[in-house]
Amino acid sequence: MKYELRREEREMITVYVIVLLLIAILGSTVWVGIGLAGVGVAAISLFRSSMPFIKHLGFSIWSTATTPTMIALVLFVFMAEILFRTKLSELIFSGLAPWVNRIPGKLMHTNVLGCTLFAAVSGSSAATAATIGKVTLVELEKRGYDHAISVGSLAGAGTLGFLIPPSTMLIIYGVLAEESVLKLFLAGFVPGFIISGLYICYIMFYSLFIKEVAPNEKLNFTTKEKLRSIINLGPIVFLILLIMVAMYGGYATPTEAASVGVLGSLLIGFFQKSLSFKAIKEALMSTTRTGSMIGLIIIGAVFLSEMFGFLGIPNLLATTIAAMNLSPLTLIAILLIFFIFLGCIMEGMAILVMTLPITLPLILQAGYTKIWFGIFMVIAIQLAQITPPVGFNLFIIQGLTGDTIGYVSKAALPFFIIMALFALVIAVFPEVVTYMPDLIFSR
Amino acid sequence: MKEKVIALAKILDNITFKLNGLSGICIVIITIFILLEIIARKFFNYGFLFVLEVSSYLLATSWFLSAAYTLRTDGHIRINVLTSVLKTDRAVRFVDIFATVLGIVISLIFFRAVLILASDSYFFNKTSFSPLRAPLYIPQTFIAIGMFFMLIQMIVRLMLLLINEKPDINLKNK
Repeated sequence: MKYELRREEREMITVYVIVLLLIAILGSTVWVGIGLAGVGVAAISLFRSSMPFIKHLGFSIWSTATTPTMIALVLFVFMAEILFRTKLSELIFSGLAPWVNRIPGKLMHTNVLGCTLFAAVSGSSAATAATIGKVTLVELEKRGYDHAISVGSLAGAGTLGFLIPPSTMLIIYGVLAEESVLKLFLAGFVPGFIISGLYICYIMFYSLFIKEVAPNEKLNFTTKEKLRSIINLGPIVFLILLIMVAMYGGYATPTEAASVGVLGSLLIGFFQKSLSFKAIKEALMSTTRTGSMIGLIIIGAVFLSEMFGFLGIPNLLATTIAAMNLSPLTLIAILLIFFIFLGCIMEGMAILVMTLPITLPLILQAGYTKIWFGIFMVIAIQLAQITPPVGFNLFIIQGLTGDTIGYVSKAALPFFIIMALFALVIAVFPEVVTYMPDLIFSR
Repeated sequence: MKEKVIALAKILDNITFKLNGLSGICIVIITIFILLEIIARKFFNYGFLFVLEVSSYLLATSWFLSAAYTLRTDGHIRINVLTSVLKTDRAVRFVDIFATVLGIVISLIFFRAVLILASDSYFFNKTSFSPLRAPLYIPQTFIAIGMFFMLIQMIVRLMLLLINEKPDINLKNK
């Protein structure tokens, strides 16, 4: 007797085959962007061979590449590339130093605070760690601060570039999940500042009770120096206000705010006389490269999730999970472990675009909102940035200090744990994330 | 044979780097356009609706004109778990050849898709739905050109791997 597969069984086989395809194609070290599209093409050829995908692929490429929100992403990248080449990071360090000198841990806090400030003008965690780290690491080393905490706090706080708006990752999430980027940005503030605050508390606690991180030097800043330090913080505060007022004062879209930000960064470089024509050109070439890399990945991811849609996979997964009767918290905990595992072997953005078509339906089914999941996802990506062997921020810091990946990731471990625990906290109290956007947009 | 492949790679690099320069110009134009639009709207109460549309075409153009350059300078992300656990250079090169062949196949499909897209737009006179009525084949042709050079760069990459040359340019060492 011939055994006929039931419909659900056939569908589950489809899912297994696609997951295998994903692992096989992307695991073969093929480039992620075209690889994702390749999985889509392979899946549709296997299971819906009657469908002519080539025209659809063309339209999909075109509509993704002309998504207006993507302009904001590229301009924010451009802005960070310019700022990286100005003397802004020196100003941030000298501006913060007099104010943290009295609290336990002293100048060590310039790492976390500097990253938090820079994250508010930069959309990427790698740019944040690189820009702040190139000054703070040298200065802290020179003064004899604890090396492990210095490296670890930079790794941890540097990742905040994704959470504190503007954020390239939230823009990508917004495009893929079809959610308002402005709302996502608003939702990122509070969690970002809380994580930053937790890091500051940890450094103070460590310094007081475990081991003094600061050297035994007495720094006394005069009132005049303190006043000058405020002036030093002027440019970054100016830029932050410029972008925030532009976006939330109802004057401009994220795209317009980004272009104003580019102009502002150029002005800062111009007045500091720190920006040569060559440096601007370098910033531009680096922007096109990053833009093209992100662009192709988004194109591949959108095409793949469209193919998933054709094959009915999101629905199937949502109903399967619903039938398992997991509590939402169990689901989140499982997802977090899954993301941390993926984070060890994959780059953050790859995790976002690969898993979103599968995870988003599950999360919505469990009763969380798209905004909430965006923030959760970004925190998971930030964790991925500092887990070995593949973690982008680890690479950046290795490039700055020459330490091994193993050393940097060990130094970053306490900061990793704090952030992972915080991810669970927002699962229990989703209001931490949704409060701000609800408050502003319900008016 | 070896010299010929290297010479070919050099010629191609020249074109690829120039295309990336064009892509940079697209980004500059986008920035200027959007800034001018803000000024015109705020101070002269005069909005240009077409700015966002044209900017999005420029962005698509920029992405694809830089695609080959990004490939050549190892800027497209890959998941390197497999190559990081392999012990010998030979094995790493073998995996890289496999990935590049796969890359050529997918790039070919991509190229065909954008070529059909652009030629359909051209022969059926497709324009955008906005008041601008922009002929879509113009930006789409640039996308096809960018994709074409990425495909060629991918093929040359395979040749470089086969003759045991370094397939990527490392920007940091330059």
